Amino acid sequence: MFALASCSQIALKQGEINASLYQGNVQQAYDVLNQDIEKWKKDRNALLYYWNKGTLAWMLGKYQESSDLFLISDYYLEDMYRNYANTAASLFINDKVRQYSGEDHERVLFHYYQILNFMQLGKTESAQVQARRLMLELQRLDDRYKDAPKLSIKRYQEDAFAHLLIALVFESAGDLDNSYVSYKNAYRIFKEDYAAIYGVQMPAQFKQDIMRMAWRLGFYDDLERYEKEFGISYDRKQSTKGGNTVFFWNNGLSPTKQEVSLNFAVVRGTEPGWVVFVNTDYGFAFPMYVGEDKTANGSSFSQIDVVRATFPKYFTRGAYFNRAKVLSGGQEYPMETIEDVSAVAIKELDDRFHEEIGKTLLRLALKKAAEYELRKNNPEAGAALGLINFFTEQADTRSWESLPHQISYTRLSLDPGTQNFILRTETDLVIQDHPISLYVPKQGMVFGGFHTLQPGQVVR
Amino acid sequence: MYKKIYALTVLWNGIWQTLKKHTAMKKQILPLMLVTSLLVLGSCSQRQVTRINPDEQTDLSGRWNDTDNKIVADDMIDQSIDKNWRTEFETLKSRKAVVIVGRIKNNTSEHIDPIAIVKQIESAYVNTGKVRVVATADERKEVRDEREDQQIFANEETRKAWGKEKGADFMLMGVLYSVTDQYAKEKVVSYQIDFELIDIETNEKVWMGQSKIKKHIKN
Repeated sequence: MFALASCSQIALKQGEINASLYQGNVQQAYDVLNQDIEKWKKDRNALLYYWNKGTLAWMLGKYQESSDLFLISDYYLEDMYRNYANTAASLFINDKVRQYSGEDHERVLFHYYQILNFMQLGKTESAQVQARRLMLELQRLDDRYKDAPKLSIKRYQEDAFAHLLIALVFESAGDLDNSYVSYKNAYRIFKEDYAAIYGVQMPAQFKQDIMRMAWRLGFYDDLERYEKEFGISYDRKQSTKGGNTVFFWNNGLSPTKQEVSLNFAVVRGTEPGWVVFVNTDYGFAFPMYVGEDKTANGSSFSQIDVVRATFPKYFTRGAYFNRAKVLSGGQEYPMETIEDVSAVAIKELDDRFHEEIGKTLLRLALKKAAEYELRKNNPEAGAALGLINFFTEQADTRSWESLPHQISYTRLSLDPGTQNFILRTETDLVIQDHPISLYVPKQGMVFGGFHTLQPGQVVR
Repeated sequence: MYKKIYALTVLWNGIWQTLKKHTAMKKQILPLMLVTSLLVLGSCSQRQVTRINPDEQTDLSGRWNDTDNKIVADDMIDQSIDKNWRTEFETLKSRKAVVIVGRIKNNTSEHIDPIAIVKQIESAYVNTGKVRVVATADERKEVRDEREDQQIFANEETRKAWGKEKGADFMLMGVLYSVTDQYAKEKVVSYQIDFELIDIETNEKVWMGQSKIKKHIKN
């Protein structure tokens, strides 16, 4: 019950934040997170607090504050230890009582905001440090699934967007060799995974960038291979410097996790000690070992029962606008999608679905066993425990909900100094212009970004 | 904490007394009670603060900390201070060499404050008494502002003159690298900091050295 009470509190706040974001009122959403700060920090959902507030602070142009929050979250994740009390509780109650450690894509994407913060604050060395931290995160991600069962379609195990971001940071720092390595990683993942799995095509801007880098570093064989593959001939007379301004467009909101439930019939297995959870609609049959004494005649699982199992499932929120471009100096620079956050999130949860079912059913088996045992001696207490079990059976629906639905980018050249340009976002019926102001340094590059939610949003 | 333990004891004793009659139930309830107790106790912690010796080695997170700053600074001084560059300079100029600590570049995957390393090296240099250390570029700017201010507001006798700053003979520069090898919950981080002492007049690198630290971190 204690678990129930504290969960709904968080859900309530998340609801308030989402409602404000739906209206495009970022300031109001930020204000919600500014209340009860101490409570949030001590919460097992502290990570979500840092991430959500960091994102909203970034959207409001408070880059230093956002950077501080993401830095805390970075250390928080690094120092996260297994809390045995929490793990035991998650077995008995539900997954929500666990300390939130983020989905794989969330742990990658917070580096994106941190890099943008550092670049916008002119802290280029810190941006490079963050890019190296992102590389370590990508290694961890790849290692995690190396030994996992292979799926027919590759898991979310590599991230082309993250590699592209690293390449851009190193390019900005003049570390071209490392930049080219990251460009090549991104190229491979765009080619192998992104189009097929997430429907994201290799951006035209990216093709130009990787060809330019190959030319600049003298990898002429590589350049010819790219030219042939892309069907583009690279203009070898153009400047070897790419645009000094990279602008990211965060569009819409990432999907939210909601609870779905499935009913399972619990049938005694053929082997002693085993029960089988069966759902004929989906053709699921999960055998589960519960202990020999529990399946003996006249005890625990000897009678057939139906249990309700709950799972988290992503529901897409999508975006209001469907395309955008930057207008600067009489020219148009189209925004090209580089990360479909919704598609990645949904894929991740789908890939884990069987693991989620396994975990949930094990928990249900334990709960049922306790309930049956109690019922034998004291039917009322057994019934009460059954009721508690029913109410505490909840799916873990926590996620970083202020992430965008999709991330797009473009690259252009601007003169040093403060520069103004327009980000034009469009639907088939509505066009909206967002004035952007960026400080462009004499050397290196500048990264900027803007998140659009709804027409007429309040961000500054 | 004690209040929570007391409250839990009273509560569980009450339930235990009621359950005493139903022995079979005890077996089922016991693990649940245990888990709940863990949850309640785990949710609170009394903050404890103890003063410790600043020279004591402390490692909590495994990240780069003040102990590492001190280790590399002391190691660098040990390696470089009694080398030819200094003795030759002193013979030639009949005075102590003046050193400025320049930039320490952070090429690691950790957010490390280079100023802290610079300060540690400066203090190690000054403490040897074998070289003189002058202010860094940022500090000089502040000192010059003060001197400028004195020209208008300070008494003539105490006013400090322009053009008397001590020019550095050597500049120390460094780059900090790290290589991380990680798998599952284990991590080995190897840090290497490369130092170079450069003659400001001739650009000659008069001394080069490196300091290494390796950490094995288990979560």
